[in-house]
Amino acid sequence: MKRLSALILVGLILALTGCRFEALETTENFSSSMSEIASSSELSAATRAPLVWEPVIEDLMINISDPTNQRLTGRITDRVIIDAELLCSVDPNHPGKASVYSGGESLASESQRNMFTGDDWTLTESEEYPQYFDSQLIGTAYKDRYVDSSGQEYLCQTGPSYSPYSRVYTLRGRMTYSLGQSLSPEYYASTDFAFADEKTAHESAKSFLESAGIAINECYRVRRLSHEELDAELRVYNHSAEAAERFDADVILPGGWTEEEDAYWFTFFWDIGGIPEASQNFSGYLFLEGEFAERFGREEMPINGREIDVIVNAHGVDYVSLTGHFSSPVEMSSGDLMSLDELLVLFSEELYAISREHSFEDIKKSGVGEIVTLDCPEPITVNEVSLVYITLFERFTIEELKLRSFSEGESMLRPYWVIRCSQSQPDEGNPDRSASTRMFFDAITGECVKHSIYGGEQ
Amino acid sequence: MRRKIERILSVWLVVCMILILSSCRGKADQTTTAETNQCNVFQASYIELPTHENRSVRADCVIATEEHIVFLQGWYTDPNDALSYRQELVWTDKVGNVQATHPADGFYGRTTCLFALSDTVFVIGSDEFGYCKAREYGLPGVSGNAIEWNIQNQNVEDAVLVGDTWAFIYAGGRVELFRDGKSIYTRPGHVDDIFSQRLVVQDNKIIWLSTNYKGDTEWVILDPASLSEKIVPVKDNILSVSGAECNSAFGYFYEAYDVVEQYDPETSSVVDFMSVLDTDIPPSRYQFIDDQPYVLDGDHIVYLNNPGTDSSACDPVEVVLLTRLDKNPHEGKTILTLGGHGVSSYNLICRAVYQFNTTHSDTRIRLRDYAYEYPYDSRDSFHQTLATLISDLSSGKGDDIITEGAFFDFSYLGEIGALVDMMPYLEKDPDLSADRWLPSIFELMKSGDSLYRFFPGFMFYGYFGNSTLLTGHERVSAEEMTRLSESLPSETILFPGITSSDLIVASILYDLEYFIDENGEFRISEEQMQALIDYALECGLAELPTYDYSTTDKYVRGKQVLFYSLIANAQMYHGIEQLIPEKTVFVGSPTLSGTAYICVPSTSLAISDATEHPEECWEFIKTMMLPEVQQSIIETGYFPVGASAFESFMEQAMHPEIRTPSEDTGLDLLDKSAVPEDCVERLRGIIDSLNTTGEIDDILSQIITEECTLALAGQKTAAETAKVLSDRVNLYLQSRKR
Repeated sequence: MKRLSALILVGLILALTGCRFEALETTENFSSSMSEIASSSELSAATRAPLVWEPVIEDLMINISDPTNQRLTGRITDRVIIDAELLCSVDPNHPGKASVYSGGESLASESQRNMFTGDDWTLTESEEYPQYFDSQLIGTAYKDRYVDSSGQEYLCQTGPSYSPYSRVYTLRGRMTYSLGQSLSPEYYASTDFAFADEKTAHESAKSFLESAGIAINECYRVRRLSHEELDAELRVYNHSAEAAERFDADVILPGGWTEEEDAYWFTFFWDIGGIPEASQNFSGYLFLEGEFAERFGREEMPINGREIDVIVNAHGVDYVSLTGHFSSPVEMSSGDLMSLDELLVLFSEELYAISREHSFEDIKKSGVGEIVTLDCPEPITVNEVSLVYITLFERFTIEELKLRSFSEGESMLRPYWVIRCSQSQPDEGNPDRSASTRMFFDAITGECVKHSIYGGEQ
Repeated sequence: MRRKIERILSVWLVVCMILILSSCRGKADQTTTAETNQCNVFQASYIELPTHENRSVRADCVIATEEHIVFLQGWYTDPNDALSYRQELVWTDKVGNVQATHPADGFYGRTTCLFALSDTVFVIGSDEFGYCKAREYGLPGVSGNAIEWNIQNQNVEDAVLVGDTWAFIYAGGRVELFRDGKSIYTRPGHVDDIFSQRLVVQDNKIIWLSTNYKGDTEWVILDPASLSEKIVPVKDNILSVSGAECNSAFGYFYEAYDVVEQYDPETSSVVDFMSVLDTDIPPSRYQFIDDQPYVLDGDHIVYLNNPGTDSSACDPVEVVLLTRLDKNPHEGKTILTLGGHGVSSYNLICRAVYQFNTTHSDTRIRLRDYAYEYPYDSRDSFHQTLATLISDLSSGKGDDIITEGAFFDFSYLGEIGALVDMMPYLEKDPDLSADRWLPSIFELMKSGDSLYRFFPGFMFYGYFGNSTLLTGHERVSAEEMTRLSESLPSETILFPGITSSDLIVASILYDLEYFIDENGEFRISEEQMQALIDYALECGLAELPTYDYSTTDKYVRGKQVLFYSLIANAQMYHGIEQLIPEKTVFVGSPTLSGTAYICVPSTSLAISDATEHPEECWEFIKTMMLPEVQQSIIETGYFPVGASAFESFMEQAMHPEIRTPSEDTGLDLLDKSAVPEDCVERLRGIIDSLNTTGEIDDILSQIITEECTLALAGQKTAAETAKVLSDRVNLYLQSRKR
């Protein structure tokens, strides 16, 4: 094991400019443990320069007025730049209370199957895909085809209960959504379209979802996809897509691309007591250590996020997709949510702890791209701050699991503050090298999942 | 398209890389080679496994019982659902007749672990909770209840049963023995990050081989009776046999390009098991296959050629069964050798050799793979190896036929008398004449009036342009491109990511004749050098960004004038035309005198002047023009050089309904719909205009790069650079003549 250098802790000054700070028990505990760590580290041999970290949070600006574009800016001394997309549906300084829930993982596929069908739709074709495990039926996927009174065809796809999803779309809508996903943000339109302004389109999407019984959070994301850019993107997309993925625009849009295909792409979040559930790109694993690992009895904790995508164009709601939802959550406990101020204090401390453990030299040698460190001369940038519910899957013994049916994976919803940060970490061989990571802070207890490595997008 | 090009290039490049890496394993470490009296030649036949309509069925693994061969194959019932993978066991007799098929249910996801005992087979996998389990099958079907072990969330990579003891190895490197359902012994690997490991039962002992990414290996012989272990040292962390490890529950086998060897870790002895050179193994028609052979028992080997391309095409797996012969049927034949770097992995060469060997009773081709015979691992050792190779060639120690362009400048070797001029053979050949080739391609094969090399297929590459943006600059040249670039709006670029020095290298090397004066010397003037520097600085980048430089979206949106692509068939060219609504122009690679339209030969072949059998060699070269071989080029999705085969390829492009499933396979990653006739006509025009080939002399390239880097950085004037460059290039060209 490499010997760490002597570490001189000049001081931990937590001056929060423009923020009210009330020390939590967790923070006090942390501060005292920091001192212990510092004194023990001073005994270590000196092999690298001492790491000095006096976090002072400055110029913090919170803008939550626009639910589609919340921002958090500021800095922590000159080492951390905060220029973050914020996802927070409550007052970040006074977030109030929240609960922890447990319950079944998802809706059964049968109940999702017809959730979007219109009153004037006629079923024209239906395919069932029963899924077996060990000769036992464990779920059924469906693909249904409908025609509405105007002759427009819709496809409804529903996943089996162990992998729940639900999609309803026209071929045009599916093509628009796929192209929207492939389109670089630089090609998003910046102004509303002629067929409806963004607010009207949002209302249309929201009422469509609500009519299907879906509770969505007030925060959402929107991208404007112009038909000109969709047309160009189709050529880019088809050029690199494999055969089965390509779209034949001549068949899907016999009249070619027109303003009728200008589209708003909304991403909604499921609502849990006024707080959004984490989006799908949070899905993956948390890697746990110490007490946290002990409590859950495991070192890897699968986590899940979900979201709802809707395409609205002049034809109406042209595409909807959603993944399964917590079916019947049961409140387990509740508590006060940590404020943003408190979060940033914990984040600063966590950053220091990580930096002590991982020198820049060690990171370069290891080649790991998931650790940011104050030991690197480049600043750390906070790109994303979210207060969200995350689904964690509890650990069960084999006997317990066998008592349950296959589709009833137990899970727990906990509120987390999640910070995504990144850092340029150039080295001689790779000047564009960078690191990116997410840190998960339990929004009630303040505990940080140490060295969280994320299975999905960093 | 970028992905397609990368995949196509990867066929060429990955093979070279693998061979370079594998060449690091020498055969010098062989300790002993036991002599056996058995014939090491095998006979090939095909086995047809059951198919399932509209399903892409993959053969996952195969094993042999005393009387049967048992395949485990599977497919996804829903391609979007990883959990929908279904598997079945297919039982055949030892000649490949299907005897029974049974579903292999009850496992969570795909399993690839089989173990055979007498005439039963165990399938080992995990249940829905991640616990390891096994099921026993006989010819009539499943027998008994599943066996379960308290092994959770361990990726079991292999399992064997010895008496009442089961042994498992887990991903990452650990072995564990179970008796009566209880763990009785466990042991970690001696090195970290084990990525390859297998278990074999030999003399009631369990032998565990593990290898990590660095090539560190360890053999552990475990005695389940005494729970004792013996570690077999492996010298210098290199296996004492060469080649890639085969799949086998029967022993440890290694397949090199010429032989399959069996290694006995208990005695450190090596036995030749099969002569690859004397066994006619039918090459796969698939471009991407992903399996080593399965050695089933002393007399049977199976190749599972799963198609690695588009699964929606539902191409069936090719199953090749090799059965040991009693006598070598090739004794007494004239042997010709065909040498080249990576030659044993060139599907096209293998097909031609297979075709020749299975149709000629007196002569036989044997491959010599230079990845093994003349290995190199760096630029310096490449040049040393090349010198040795050419020396061997000229002293008669070389091969009868040589192939591949990385080593050989065929035109140069022909000029110095190291190669046979095949033109006289062609002229007097009753079966073949020059008009059987595409005219432009035949011209590119020739060196003056001589024919020193032959290639059976080709691609071409270069820049394609948006005609609207190129208006007024139709005469493409480096200087014209400079003017065009200067006139572009600031948000529009001319080239996709290319460095300034690469622009200069391409301009000179693809137009080398332009700079050769009447005395045969290379001369570049100050004005020419200045024009190239201006072109490079205006149109190129100082250095390439390290991130993926995807430029398709800029070209599509008119923010980039030129788009680089490699074209192997009409579908790829049509894909380029479809990127923009405007007319597409093939720009090639700009040079000072105009532009280079670059042909990329598939695999070049030449006859060594030292051969004692030039007539027989020509007979083999001719094989490349046989309809069967030209057809095989079509089936891999490349342009054939034969005029007739090319016409057929174009007809298929315009009328996809006439394509056979095999012909479809080569286009699996492309849009297979009909290519319009006018598009095919434009493509023909481009192929007619190809005026150079894409081989680049590495040393010349290096010289130009070195000199131009200084000029581009402003450290040397154009005049200084022109003089030094002329001198250095001439010196090199003179040295080659010596």
